[in-house]
Amino acid sequence: MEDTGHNHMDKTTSRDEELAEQRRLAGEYVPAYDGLLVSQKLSTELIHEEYATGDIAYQVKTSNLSKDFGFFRKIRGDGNCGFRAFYFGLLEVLIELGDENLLKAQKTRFNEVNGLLVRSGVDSIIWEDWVEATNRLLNLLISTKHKEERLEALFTAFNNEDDMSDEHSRELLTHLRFLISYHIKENPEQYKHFVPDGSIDAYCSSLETVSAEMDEVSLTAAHNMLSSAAGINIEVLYLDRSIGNSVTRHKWEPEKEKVRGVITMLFRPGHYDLAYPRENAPS
Amino acid sequence: MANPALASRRLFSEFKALSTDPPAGIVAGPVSEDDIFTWEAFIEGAEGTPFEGGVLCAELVFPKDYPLSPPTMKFTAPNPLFHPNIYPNGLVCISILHPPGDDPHQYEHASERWSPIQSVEKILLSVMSMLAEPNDESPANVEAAKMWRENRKMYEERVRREVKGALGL
Repeated sequence: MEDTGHNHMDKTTSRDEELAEQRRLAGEYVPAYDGLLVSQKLSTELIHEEYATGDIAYQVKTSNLSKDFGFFRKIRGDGNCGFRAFYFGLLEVLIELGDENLLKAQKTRFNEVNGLLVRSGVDSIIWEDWVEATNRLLNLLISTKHKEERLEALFTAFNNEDDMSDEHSRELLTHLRFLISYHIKENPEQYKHFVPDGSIDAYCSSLETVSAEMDEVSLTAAHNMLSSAAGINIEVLYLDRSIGNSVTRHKWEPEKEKVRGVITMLFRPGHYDLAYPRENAPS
Repeated sequence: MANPALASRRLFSEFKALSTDPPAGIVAGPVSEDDIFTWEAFIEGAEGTPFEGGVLCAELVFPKDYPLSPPTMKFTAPNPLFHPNIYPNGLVCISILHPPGDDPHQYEHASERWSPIQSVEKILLSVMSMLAEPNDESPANVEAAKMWRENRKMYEERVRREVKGALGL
């Protein structure tokens, strides 16, 4: 307190440091690892609150986000979040549409793309459990008669991480991961310009070691294979420090003219969650 | 005892396939009926290698989340097994056994690392070729790597001796 001039400088430095620290925290935000693999729907106000002391860009964007998107589901960030968000989101949208035939059609679509695994030449004992996990879940959803019960069954299936169980959710995600990898390998022309160094082999090997997270290439592949033909669109909301007061929105268009539903994924650098628009929100 | 359903189902399928159509020079399976997570593997020493005429014995221990994570593999006979990629305690150090995302040596390609599409058979075949052609870039046994590189004859003689010793000759 004796040297006020010095103190003043200290304050400036510490405020700068604090600001830098806050920016760092906001930029490197990693959602909690604990809890459910897919949470219940939570208010997006929670996301805004997470950034209450963070970067102003995030404060503004998260505030605007909750105006248009009232709810979100927290997806566990264990390296599978993007795959989990897409797969859960796809089935959830189909269930919400309330037509059993859409679920039946999706089961058929899965069984068609399973041809990728057969054609890969890899022994069926390697992948039959993954295929069965998806079939079992779709059969369960089809045979369950009410929307709410279907949603409950979906929620339970995706949150099952019991090693003793026959229906561990990781089988579903491994299935999706390998379908994506083999789809890209079978259609190299479509994807080679978008993967690092143009190497489909390196990209797919990395996907298959289950360490690679979802990116736009694998999301595009998943969409082309599984959601596009169902008339389901994907929209990604990018929440980052880019210029603007709102999240950056990017849509993958479905191949069918009629869009039946939309899977909305909220992306923060390194992480995907699911988001849900308010009814009157602009699309 | 923990008996995670999925991992054991997959291991059982692999065991069945390995028993009906075993690759040349390899026999592998669970040590006992009660524990599908611990296997014993016998590998015939390949012709033209210093392991020729010998039988190598190893133990594989599988994690509960197999095939998401790889097993560990440890040679039990000969013990020690003198090889650049085998630790003095018998533990095998080979890229196919490295867990996903774990790349201590940046030069490893993802295609060489563990993935659920790999299998016990693939591991054993990789180990067979590793025995014939050591990788001395990241040795688990520095002494063996040095001798293999600098004095191949001495290395091969030592291996032959150990392999014979294990057979009780």
